[in-house]
Amino acid sequence: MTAVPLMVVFGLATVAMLIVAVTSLAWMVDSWRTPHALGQMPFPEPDDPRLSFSLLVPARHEEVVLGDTVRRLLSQSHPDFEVIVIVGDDDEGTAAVARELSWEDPRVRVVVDDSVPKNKPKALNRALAHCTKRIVGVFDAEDEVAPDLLRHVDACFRAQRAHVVQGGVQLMNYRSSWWSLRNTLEYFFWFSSRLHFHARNGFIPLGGNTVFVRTDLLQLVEGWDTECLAEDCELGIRLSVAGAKVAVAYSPALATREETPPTLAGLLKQRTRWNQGYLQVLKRGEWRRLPTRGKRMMARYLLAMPFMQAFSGLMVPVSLVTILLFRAPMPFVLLTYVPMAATLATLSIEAIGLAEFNRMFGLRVRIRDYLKLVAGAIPYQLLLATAALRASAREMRGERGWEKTEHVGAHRDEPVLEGSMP
Amino acid sequence: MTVVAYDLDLEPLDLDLAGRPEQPPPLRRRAATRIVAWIRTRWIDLSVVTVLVVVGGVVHAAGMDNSPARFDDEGTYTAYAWAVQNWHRLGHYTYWYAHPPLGWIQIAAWNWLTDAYDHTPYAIAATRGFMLFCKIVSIVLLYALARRLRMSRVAATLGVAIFALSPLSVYFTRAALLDNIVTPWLLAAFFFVASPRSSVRGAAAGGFCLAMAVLTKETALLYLPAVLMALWQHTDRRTRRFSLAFFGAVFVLLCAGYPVFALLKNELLIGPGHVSLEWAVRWQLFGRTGSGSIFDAKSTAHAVVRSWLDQDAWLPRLALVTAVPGMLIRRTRAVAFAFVFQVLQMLRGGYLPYPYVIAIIPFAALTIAGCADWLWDLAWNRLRRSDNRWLRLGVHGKQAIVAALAVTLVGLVGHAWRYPLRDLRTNDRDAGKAEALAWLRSHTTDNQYLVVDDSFWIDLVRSGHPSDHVIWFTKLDVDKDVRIPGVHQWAGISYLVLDHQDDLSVHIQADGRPSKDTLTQFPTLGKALAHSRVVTTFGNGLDSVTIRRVDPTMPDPAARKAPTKPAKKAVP
Repeated sequence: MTAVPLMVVFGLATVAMLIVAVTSLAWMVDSWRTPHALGQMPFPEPDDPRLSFSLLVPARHEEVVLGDTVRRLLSQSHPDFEVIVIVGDDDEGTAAVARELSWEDPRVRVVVDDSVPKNKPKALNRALAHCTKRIVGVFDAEDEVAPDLLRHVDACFRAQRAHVVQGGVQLMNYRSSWWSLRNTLEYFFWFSSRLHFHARNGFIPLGGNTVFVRTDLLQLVEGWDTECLAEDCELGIRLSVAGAKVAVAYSPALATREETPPTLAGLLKQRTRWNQGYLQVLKRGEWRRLPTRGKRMMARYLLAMPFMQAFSGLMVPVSLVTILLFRAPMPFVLLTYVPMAATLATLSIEAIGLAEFNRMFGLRVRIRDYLKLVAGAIPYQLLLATAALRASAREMRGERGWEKTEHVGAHRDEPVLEGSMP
Repeated sequence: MTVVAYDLDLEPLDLDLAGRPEQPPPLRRRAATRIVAWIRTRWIDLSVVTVLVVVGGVVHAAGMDNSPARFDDEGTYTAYAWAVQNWHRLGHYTYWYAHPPLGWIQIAAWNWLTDAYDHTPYAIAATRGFMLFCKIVSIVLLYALARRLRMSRVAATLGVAIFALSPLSVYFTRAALLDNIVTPWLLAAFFFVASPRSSVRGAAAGGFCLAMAVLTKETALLYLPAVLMALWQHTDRRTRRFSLAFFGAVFVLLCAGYPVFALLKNELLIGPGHVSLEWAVRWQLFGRTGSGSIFDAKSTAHAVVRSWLDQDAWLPRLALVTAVPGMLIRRTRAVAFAFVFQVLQMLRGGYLPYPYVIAIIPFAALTIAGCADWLWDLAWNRLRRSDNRWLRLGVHGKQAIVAALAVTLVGLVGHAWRYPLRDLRTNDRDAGKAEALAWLRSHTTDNQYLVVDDSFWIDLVRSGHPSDHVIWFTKLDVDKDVRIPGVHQWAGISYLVLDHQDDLSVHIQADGRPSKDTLTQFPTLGKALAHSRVVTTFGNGLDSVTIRRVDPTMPDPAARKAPTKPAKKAVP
C-alpha cells in the first residue's frame, strides 16, 4: 500500500488538530468553567486611589486619532497620572498634535524617539526613562479607554498584590466585515478567558496595551525587547520567569475599545507580525528558565500553537483528499470525521460566545451575525494558516521589519475620517 | 457600598532577574500528598463503598457462570466481540446495524486484555466477567451519584444495597447483555452532570458518557431527557449556556459518528444489495412485533413484567410507589424522572425486550432511597421540634431508631430475597447447556454443518469446527453470505441445536414441527426442522436445550407419523 506514509501523516495531523482544538476550546471557556470562576473575571470593586500612573502612548503617523485618544485619557477619574506621548523625529504631523496636547494639559509630556529604524518597543523604552509615577501603563494611539479604568487598576494592584495588571481590550466594530466578527470574538475570548488561564498557571504572554506594570519592576527588567516583533508577549515571558504575579481582569464597561485592521491585508500583516514575534520568543528560549517542567511545556506549546494550528489545519484537507483517492482502510476513513467534529464543536461554542459577548455588551443578537460566524469559520482558518506560514517564511528569510497596523477609528462613535490611511 | 479592604500600598519589590528557582517537590510526592488528602477527606465514604463493592461483588460473582443459563443474546454479543478481536470485523456475520457496535468493542477489549476465553468454562462466561466489572463500577458510581444528589450515607447505602442485592438485579446484571454495559456509562453521565461546582467540564464529561451509553446500545437515548433535567438542575444561570453547549456538542458529535460510519460505508440509507442503518432503525421502531399491553394477561409484555415481579416482589412495587413523590423532591427529581420515563415507555405497548428492566433498576433503587431519605429528614426534624416528651425521647436514640429500621427492613425484604438469592448462588441452571455443548463436541465432526443457538457458536468454533460450518440459526435465509453447499441447503445440515426460547421464537408446535410461518419465511430452517428428529434433550423446562438430527431421507413431514430409523451418517 503506497498510501501508508500519507495515512501516518494524516493520523498525526488529525491528532494534532484534535489536541489543539480541545485545548483552545478549554482555554476559550476557562472563565465560564464554573459560576465561581466567572466571578473572578471582572475587576475588583475600586476603593480610594492610592497609586500613580505613567501612561505611555506611542504614536506613529497617528495624527488623526491621537488627539481624541489622549483627551479621553485625560478625563480619567483617577487623581494622579501623567500621559507620555512618544513620537518619531521623522513624523512631524503626529508630533505637532502631541505638542498641542501638551500645551493644553500639563499632565501630557512628549518624548521624541530618534532611533533608526523605529519600532514600538524602542519608543516605549525611550519613554520609560521619563516615567515619574509608580505604575507604567501602555495604550495605543487609537485606544478608547474607559474613564474609570485607572481607579479599578489601582485597586486591582493592591487587592491582588499583583506586579502586573492586564486589563481587557475589546474590538468593537464586529459588524464591519466578515473577518471583523471573528477577530472581535478572538479578542473577547482572549482577554475575558484565556489570559486568566495563563495568568493562573504562572506563564502569560501579555497584551500590547491596557497593560500595567510596576515601574520599579519594568526598570529592573530593563523594559521591552527592542528586537522582538511581539514585545508584549516577550515582556510577559520575562516577567513570568522573574516570578511576577500577573492579575488579569475583564469588565465589559472597562475594556479598552479598539478596531479591527481596516483591510484583510492589514489583518494578515498584523497576524503575521504576532506569529513571527511568537516564533522569535520561542527561538530565544527565555521560557526555558521557567521554574517547572509543566510551565516550560505550556510555554512551548503556547508559543508554537499558531503553527500547530496552521500545520494541522492544512494537512487535514490535503491528506483527506488523498486518503479518499487511495481507498484507505475504514478506521482511517473514519478518522476524517474527527477534524470535522472538532470544527463543529468549536463553532457551537463560538456561537455561544457571540451570544455571551452580545449580552455582556448589551448588544442585540442578530441571526445574520451567527450566519457570518458560521460562514467565516473556514476562510478565517485559512487566513490564520496563511499568516502562520508567512511568519515562518519571513523568519527563515531573516525579514524582521515591523509591519505596522493602520488605524482609521472605525470603533469610534464619531463619523469616520475617510481616506486617512497613510 | 461594598466595604473593601485591600492593601494600602504596593509591597516592596521582591523579585530579581534570576527569577524564582522554586523547586517544587517531585511529581510523585505531590501526587502522593494529594491522594492522601483525598482519602483523608472521604475515608468514611470510601470504606462504605469498599464494603458495598465487596458484598455486591461476591453476591454477583458467586455462581455467576451457572445462573442464569447462557442464552442466545449473550452468545450473539460475545460472538460479535470475538469477531472484533479475532477477525477485526464488527461481527461473525454481516454487521447490519442492529445495535451500535461500541458495546461489543468494549467486551472485545476486556476479553482481550484479560485473556478471558482461556480462563472461563465457556465463552459467554468470559463476557460475564466483564459484567461483574461493570457491576462493580456501577456500584461505585451509584453511591457517588447518590452522595452528589445530597443523600445521606445511609440512604446512599440503601440505594446501592437494593441495586446490588435485589435478586432481580443480580439475575439480570449477570447476563452478558449490552444493557449491563450501558448502566455504568449512564450512571457516569448522571454523576458528571450533577457536578457540585456546576462545572462546564462536568457537562462535557456527562455528554461524553451518555454518548458512550448510546453508542453501546441505542435505547440509552431514552435517558437523554432525564440527564438534561439533571444537568439543568446542576447548572447556574450564568454559565448554563456553556454547559449546555458543551454537553450538546460532545453528545451529538459523538453519537453522529455512528451514522457517519454508516455513511462512509455507503450503508446509511436503504438501497439494493446492502444492509443499512435506515432499515435497521425502521425495523427497531416499527417493524418489530409489539409485545402487547402489560395489563393484558395473555400478552408477551405481561409475561415479561410478571417474570420480573417473580424475581423480586419488592423493588418494582416500592419504586412505583415512590416514583411520584420522587419527582416532587428536588434531589431525586432527575433520577425519578429517568425511572418514570422508562415505565411510561413500557405502557406504550411496543416491543418490550426481556432485559429492558436492567437499566431501570439503579434509578428505581435511587428513587426509593431518596424518598426514604427525604422522609427520614422530615420525620427527624419533626421529632426534634416536637413538644411531646415521649417523642423527644427518640431524639436521644437516633442510632437505635436507625438500627431498628434497618433490622425491620432486612427482616422484611431480606426474608423475601433470601431464597431467590440462594438459588442464584447454588443452582446450576446452565448445566443442561454445558452438557449439550459437551455432547456436540464428542458426537460431531468438523466437516458437519451445525445450526445452533448463538450461545454455542464461539465454543464450537474454538474447539475446531470451521466457522462457516457452525451457523447461527437466525442467519439461515437471512444473511446472503450464509450458504450451505448443495441443491437443498437444508439437506446439508447435520444437527440443529435450539434451546427452549429458540423453540418459541421459531414457533415449534406441540407436535415438534415448525409452524407454517416458519416454513414460508425461513424455508431452510423450516425444512431442516421438518426433516429432523430429536436426538436428545438436556436441562429442564426454561433452561432446556434440544439437539435434533436432520435426515434428508426422512419422508415428507406430511407423512411423518411413522418415522423410520435411518442410520447415523455424516452428511457431507
